[in-house]
Amino acid sequence: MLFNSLHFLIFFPVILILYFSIPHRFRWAVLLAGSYYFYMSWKAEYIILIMISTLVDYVAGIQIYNAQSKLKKKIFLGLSLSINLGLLFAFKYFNFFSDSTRALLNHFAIPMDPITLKVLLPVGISFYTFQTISYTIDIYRGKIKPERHLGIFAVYVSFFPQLVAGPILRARDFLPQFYVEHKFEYVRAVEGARLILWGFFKKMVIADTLATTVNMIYATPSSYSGPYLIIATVFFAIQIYCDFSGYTDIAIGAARMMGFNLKQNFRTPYLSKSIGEFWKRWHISLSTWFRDYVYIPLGGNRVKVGRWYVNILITFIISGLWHGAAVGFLIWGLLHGLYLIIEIVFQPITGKIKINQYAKRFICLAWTFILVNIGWVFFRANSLNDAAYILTHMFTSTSDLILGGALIFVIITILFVMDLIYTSPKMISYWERLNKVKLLRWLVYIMLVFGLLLFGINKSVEFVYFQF
Amino acid sequence: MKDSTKFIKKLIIFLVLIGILLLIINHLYVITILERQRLPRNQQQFIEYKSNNDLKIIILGDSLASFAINPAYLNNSFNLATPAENLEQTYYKTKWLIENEPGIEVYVLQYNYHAFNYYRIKPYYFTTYWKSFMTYEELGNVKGVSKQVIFFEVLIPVIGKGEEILKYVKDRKDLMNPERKRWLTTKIENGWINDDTVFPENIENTTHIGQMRAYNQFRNYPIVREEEYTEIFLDTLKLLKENNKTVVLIQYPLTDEYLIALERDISLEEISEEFKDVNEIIEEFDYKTLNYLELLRYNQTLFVDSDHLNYNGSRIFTEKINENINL
Repeated sequence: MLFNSLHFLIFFPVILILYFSIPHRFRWAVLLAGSYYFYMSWKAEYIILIMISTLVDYVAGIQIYNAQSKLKKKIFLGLSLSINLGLLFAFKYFNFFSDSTRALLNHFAIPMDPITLKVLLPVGISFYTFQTISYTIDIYRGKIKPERHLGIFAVYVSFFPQLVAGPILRARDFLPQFYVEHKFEYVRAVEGARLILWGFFKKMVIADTLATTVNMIYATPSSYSGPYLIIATVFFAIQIYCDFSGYTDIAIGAARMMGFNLKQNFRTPYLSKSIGEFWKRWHISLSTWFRDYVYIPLGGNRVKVGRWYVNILITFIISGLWHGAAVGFLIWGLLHGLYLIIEIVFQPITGKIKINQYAKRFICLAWTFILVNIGWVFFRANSLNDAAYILTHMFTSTSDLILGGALIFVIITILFVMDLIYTSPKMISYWERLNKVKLLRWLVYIMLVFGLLLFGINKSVEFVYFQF
Repeated sequence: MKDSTKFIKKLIIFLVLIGILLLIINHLYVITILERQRLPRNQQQFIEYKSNNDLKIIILGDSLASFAINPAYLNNSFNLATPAENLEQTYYKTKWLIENEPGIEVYVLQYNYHAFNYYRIKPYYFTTYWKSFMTYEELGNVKGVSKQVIFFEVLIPVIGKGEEILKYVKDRKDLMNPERKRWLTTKIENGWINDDTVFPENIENTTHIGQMRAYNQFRNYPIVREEEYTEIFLDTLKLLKENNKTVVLIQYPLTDEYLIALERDISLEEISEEFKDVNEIIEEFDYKTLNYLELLRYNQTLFVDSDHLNYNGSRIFTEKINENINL
C-alpha cells in the first residue's frame, strides 16, 4: 500500500479509530493486524519474511539475555545475524554478486553459467532487517532487555508507518512507548495531521513534478546540453529530499497521531556547511545506525589515523551498498567517504582561514551542496557511462559555463538565505508569531490541500526509498 | 470538550470548507476551460446527434480523420475521431459503440502507419470523455490508477488539472497563444473539425513543419510498427467482424513535405512491406482499404498543416470517400 493512495486514506483513519476505541492492552493487536495488512496489500507472501525475522529475533533476544556464557550469547547473536543478513543477501544482493563474479571470471576467460534468483525485492527489507539486527546487538551488549510480549515485538518489527522506508527504529526508544497508555490528544493529532499534509505535499507535488524532468533528462543525457544536465541534477537533489523526507513526515505524523514518537530523520540537510554535518542531517536514523553498529565496532576514530580513514571508507561503502546492489551506489558511498576524509585532512588548514563569517558560511554551504550533487549523479544515473557523461558535459562551452554557473549560484544563494532565516532568532520568533495567526494557518492548509488536489493527484508514483 | 470531539469537529469544518471551494473551482474550470476543449465539444455533439438522427456510419481515428471527413457530405454519419487518439482508445470506443449503438452499420477506421508507432503524451488526459466509452476498471488500468481515483476524476474533473489551469492563465496573459487559440475556438460540426487555415499561407517554413510532424509521429523509428498497437488494432477488426459490421479502412492524405521527411528514413513501399501480415488479415476479413496517402500530395492549399486537411480539402476528400465507399 502506498501512502499516496486512496487505499491509505481509508486505511489510516480506520486504524486510528480502532486503536483509540479499544482498551490499551489489546491495542498492539490492532497495530499488528494493520501493519501486516498494510504490507500484505503489496505482496502477501512476503509477510513470511517479516514473520521469520520477528520469530528469530524474538527467540534470539531472550536466549542471548538468558545465556550464562559468552559463547552461548555469541552463538545466538550469530544465528540471528546470519538469518537476517542471509535473507537480505538472498533477496537483494545475490544476483548482483553472481553477475559480478561471472563478469570477473569471464574477464579471465573462465566460463561460468549465469545463476540468478528470479525474485522481487521485498519492499522495506533493508529497513526492518537493520531494525531487528540493532535489537539483538543491543541485547548482546547489555543495553536493553528482551521484549517478552511476542505481539508487541512483532509490532516493533512491522510498525506500518515506518515499515517500508524508515526511520529505522531503536528498540530502547520504541518498545517502552507500548507500555504507556496513549490518549487521543488534540495537540498531537493536529501536529500529526499537519506533518502528514506537509509530507504529502512534498512527495506528490514537489518530488513527483520534478521527477518528470529528471527522468526525461537522465533517460538520455546525451541528448541534452550542460545547463539541462545541471538542472536535472539539482532537481534530483530536491526530488530525493522531498520524496524521502515527505515519506518520513507522513510516517512521523501518523505515528504521532496514535501517540508514538518517532525520531527525526532529516534536519534541512542542504543547509549543511560540511559533509560531516550533512550526514548528521540526512537520513539520521541510518547514519546513526552505521555509526553505532559498523563504524564504532570497527574502532571508530580511536585508532591510528590510517585505520580511522579505512573505517570511514568501509562504513560509507557499506552504506552505499545498503541502498542497492549496483556499482553506482557503491561509488556514491565511496565518494562520501572520501569527501569526509579530505575534510578531516584539511580541517586544520581550513579552520585557520580568517574571512568574514557570512562569506565562510556561503562558501562552505556551496561547497557541500556541490559535492553532494556530484554524489547524486552516481546515485541517479542509469549507468556509470551516463554518470561520467553527465559530469563531463555539464560545462563544455563558455555559454554553458556562464549559464550553468549562474544557475548554481542562484540555487546556492536561495539556500544561503534560507540558512540565514532558519538560524536567526529574530526570524524564528517572527515565524512563531505568524504561526499563531489561525486564519493564516488555515490558509496555508487550504493551499497545501489544493496543491495536492490540482497538481499531485493521479500520479501514484512510488517513493524512491521503497526500492531500498 | 473532549479532545477527540474537538478534533473531529474542526476536521469536518475544514473538509466542508475544502469541499465548497473545490466545487466552486471545479465549476469555473468546467465552464471556462473544459467545455471549450475539442473532446468535450465532440462528445456533446455526439449525444445531440444520436438523439436526433439515425446514425449509420461512424468515423473513428485521430486528428487526421477528425479534420478529413465532413459528415455533411456523408449521410447519417458522425465523426467521432479525436485528436491524438491512439489505437487502444479506438478499440474501447468501438467496443462501446457495438454494445450501445447497434444501429451503426459502417465503421470507418483510420489505417495510417504512424498510429502503430505514435508516441502520445497523456493519452487519457480527459478522464470524463474516456469514461463515457470505458468502465472505471478499464480506465483505471490504462491510466495506472485505482478505479476510485477515476471515480473522483469523473465527479470532479478539475482534480489533477493544475498544470492545465496554469497554462490557461498564461495563455490568456499572452493574449492567447495562436496554437491554443486554434485548439479552443475551431468550429466543430458533427464531430468534424472545420478549419479554413491554408498551409502555405499559414506557415513560413513548411518543410520544417513537415519534418517535425513526421519525426514526432515516428519517434520510435526504426521501429515502425509496435506489436502492442498491432494486436489491439487486429482485436478491433476481429470485434467488428464478430458483430457483422461493415468496415472501411482509410489511409488519410499527407502533404509532400510530410512524405519527403518520412521517406528520408524509409520508403512508403518499405513501410507497406512491414504491414504485409496485417494487410493479409484485412484481406481475410474482406475489409476494404482505401489508400489516399498520396492523393493530395501536391495540393498543399487543401491542408491546414503538413497532415491535416482544411475546409476545402475535407469537402473534396469526403466527396471522394462517398464515391468510393459504395455503401
